[in-house]
Amino acid sequence: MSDAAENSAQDIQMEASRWVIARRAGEEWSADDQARLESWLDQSTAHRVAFWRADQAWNRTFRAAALKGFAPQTPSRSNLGSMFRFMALRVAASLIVIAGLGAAGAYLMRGPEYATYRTPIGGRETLTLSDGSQIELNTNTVLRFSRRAGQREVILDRGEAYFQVKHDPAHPFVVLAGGRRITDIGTKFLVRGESGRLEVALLEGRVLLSAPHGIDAPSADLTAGNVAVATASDTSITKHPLQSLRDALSWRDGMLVFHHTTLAQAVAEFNRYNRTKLTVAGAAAALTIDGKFAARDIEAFTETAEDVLRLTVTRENGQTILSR
Amino acid sequence: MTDTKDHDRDNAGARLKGLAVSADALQAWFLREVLPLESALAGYFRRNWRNESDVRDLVQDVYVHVCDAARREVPLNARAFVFTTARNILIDKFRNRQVVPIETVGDVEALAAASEIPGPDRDVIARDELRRLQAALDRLAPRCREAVLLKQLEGLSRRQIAQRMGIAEDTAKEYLAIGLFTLSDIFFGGDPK
Repeated sequence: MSDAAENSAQDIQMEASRWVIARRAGEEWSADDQARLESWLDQSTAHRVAFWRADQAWNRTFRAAALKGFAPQTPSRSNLGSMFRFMALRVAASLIVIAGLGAAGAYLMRGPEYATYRTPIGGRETLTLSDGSQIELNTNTVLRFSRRAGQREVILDRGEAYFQVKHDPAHPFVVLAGGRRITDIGTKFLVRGESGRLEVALLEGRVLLSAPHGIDAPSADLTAGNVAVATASDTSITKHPLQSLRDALSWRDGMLVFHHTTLAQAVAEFNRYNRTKLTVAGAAAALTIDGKFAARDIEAFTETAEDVLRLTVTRENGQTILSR
Repeated sequence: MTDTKDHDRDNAGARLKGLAVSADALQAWFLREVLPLESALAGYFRRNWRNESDVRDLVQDVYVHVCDAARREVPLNARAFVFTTARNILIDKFRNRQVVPIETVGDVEALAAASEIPGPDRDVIARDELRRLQAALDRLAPRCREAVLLKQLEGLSRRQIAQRMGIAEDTAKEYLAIGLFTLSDIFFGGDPK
């Protein structure tokens, strides 16, 4: 009944897989290629069905990969994780560390010209600027905004903020953080700074991320999906599926999203939002967890961890300890 | 019920009357209604046909038959149509071998009737997907997995993947194709392992 009887289903499915791969982004795909694909599909219903099936599998892999973001694979797996994290664009050498931090310090001196906004641990605040731009401050964040007329300059001293900027070529929107200057070219982006490390994630548009202050090096040009991790001395840029960046913004709804996140990382996240601190003891730190949790609801999180990961929860000296 | 032509009569009451179905609508119907049945379908053939190595071809035969039929009009009850088709294909094969163990093809009634039972919640499927991907990737050969991840997560071309992995471009292409072939089996459940 199948006119593909001369070929096994396996051969057809392999061929369909080759076509799906060939047609995907990143490959050259000409009108000739398209014509050849269509002629192959027209040869039999079996070809067409196998192509739909492989195409669907590829979409599904992508969706799941996007959900997963760039979370490292299980630790035993090759070095793929580190490869993804450090497709590094190195813009300066380590010798410049002190110069970079020094320059950042100079920026921080310009106190009185700025209005200061703070959020406490677990707090969240949205600032709407007169030009319609919005800044959302996450937990435990200090941000200063320039009072000078016509100047749109923000200093992120601590914490994390999400910027939705109305573009104005005459008045570029500038964020100073971690010894770097981030200049907006019309955009939505997330900036997070912690202990000598700055992270900039682009959801839309473009920004320029300067080299460390005092370094004569070109700015990095970030576009949607890019995440830059900058230390005082270097910058690495990776490309992420947008869904994983959106997950990183769940705090705007008071939520934390974990995908295959180690318990140690998850606990560190919770501790950013709560005064009651969690500690993970021993091997439990390496266990992984998936799910969406209210950032302030430690009880729900510890109960889930208790149930799903079969952990023991002990409370002593005002600390909550998770162990196995 | 002794001829494959009977599918049409069996399902006559369950058909949408209408114009020829567009290619896009046919594809959407196949992906939504038929493909999710693959693991049940493969299981049915595995239980009722001795030769494991024929299962993939039998499943393909069902797909081809139902899609050719749906091109004229889309059956309302895809599940019943798919399993009736599967049974008739088996009966044809048995007849060609001049053996007709009727009882072994009997469970198609139960499979077809399962359409009445609501399927798993779609949210559960979505949440499950991540775990399935992880499991699926873990089952790929390391080089295939690496090639698939480089393509899927970083959008590299075959040439770039070949350079990154230090292999020939044709090899990269084959790793990707094998990876996708295996992932398809794992996702849709035709894979007996």
